[in-house]
Amino acid sequence: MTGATSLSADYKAPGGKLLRIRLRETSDRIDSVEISGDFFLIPEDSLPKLEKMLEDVPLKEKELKLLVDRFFRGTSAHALGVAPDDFVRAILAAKSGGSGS
Amino acid sequence: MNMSVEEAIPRAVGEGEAPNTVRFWHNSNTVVLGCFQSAALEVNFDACKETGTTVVRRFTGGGAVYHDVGNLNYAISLKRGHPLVPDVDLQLVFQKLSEGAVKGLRSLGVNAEFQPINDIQVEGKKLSGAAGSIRWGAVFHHGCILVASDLAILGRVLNVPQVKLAARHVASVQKRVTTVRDELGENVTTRDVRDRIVWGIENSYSVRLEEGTLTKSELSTAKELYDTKYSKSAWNLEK
Repeated sequence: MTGATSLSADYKAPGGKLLRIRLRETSDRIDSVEISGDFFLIPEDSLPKLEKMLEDVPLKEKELKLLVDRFFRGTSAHALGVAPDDFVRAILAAKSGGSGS
Repeated sequence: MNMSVEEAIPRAVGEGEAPNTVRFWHNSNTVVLGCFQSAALEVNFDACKETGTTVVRRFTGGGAVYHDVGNLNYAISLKRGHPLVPDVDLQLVFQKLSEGAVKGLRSLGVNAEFQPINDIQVEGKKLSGAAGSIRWGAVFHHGCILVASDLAILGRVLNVPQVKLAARHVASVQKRVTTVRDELGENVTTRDVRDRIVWGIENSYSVRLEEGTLTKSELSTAKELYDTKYSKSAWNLEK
């Protein structure tokens, strides 16, 4: 049995804003994730939904992208300063252990 | 109460209980976090304690800012559907609703320019940051202008991530910001800047601003928001 691991990354999106990821994973699956940063997201109260949806998702690009796309389609959320794919890249940056841009 | 009033006004405007509103206000030493930011990551709490700086969170996104009495805050609340601004595109909201501040600052002799996404800059240095939202039936834009702020305290209380500073090729937050006072090389008050921004808003949007006070409804909402949200560490610090 593998224990949970804490991962983090600060990811500067090409759009200019920062995504800061703090997550816990077990066996390459997300236990929990906290997404913070200086980006804009409307509606603002949709971010916890994304964090919740990411729980138990494999730390793999394809699965993360499907999930993030589903979030933006399903909630009609609009981001500014970060693009949907930046959430995926930021989480993968945490997996690979550091900052990214 | 300042953050509570900031939220109460667009709520009232969106519900048609208050007219479209421009608010000017001050804070004493305060770090104001964006609603998505982590207090633990963004704030130097030791420096806050040493400088008597409090930490609060606003309801809009964007980055942390430092307020003191040398800082002028303005907030524009328009009922959604107002012909001045699109009500679906926050980038255009920032651009359009920064025009009045830019015009007012330029009339003072400051070479201010809007810099997407949400800044007003002078030759690459940030003079003002804006944030905003589209909710409660309102389009909301607010900004803080560094008029004569203490940049030394600003540099201490904010933990600006290295990845942000590196992108601007500067070593510290102090080196990427400026003030109206420093740009003009003379003493200027927040009242002077406020008066020019009123002029800038009136001339940019062909409107006439009338002085007013908060309605009973806005005061009541602000009080409730303060008691249930903005006075609570659960809102201000626990993200």
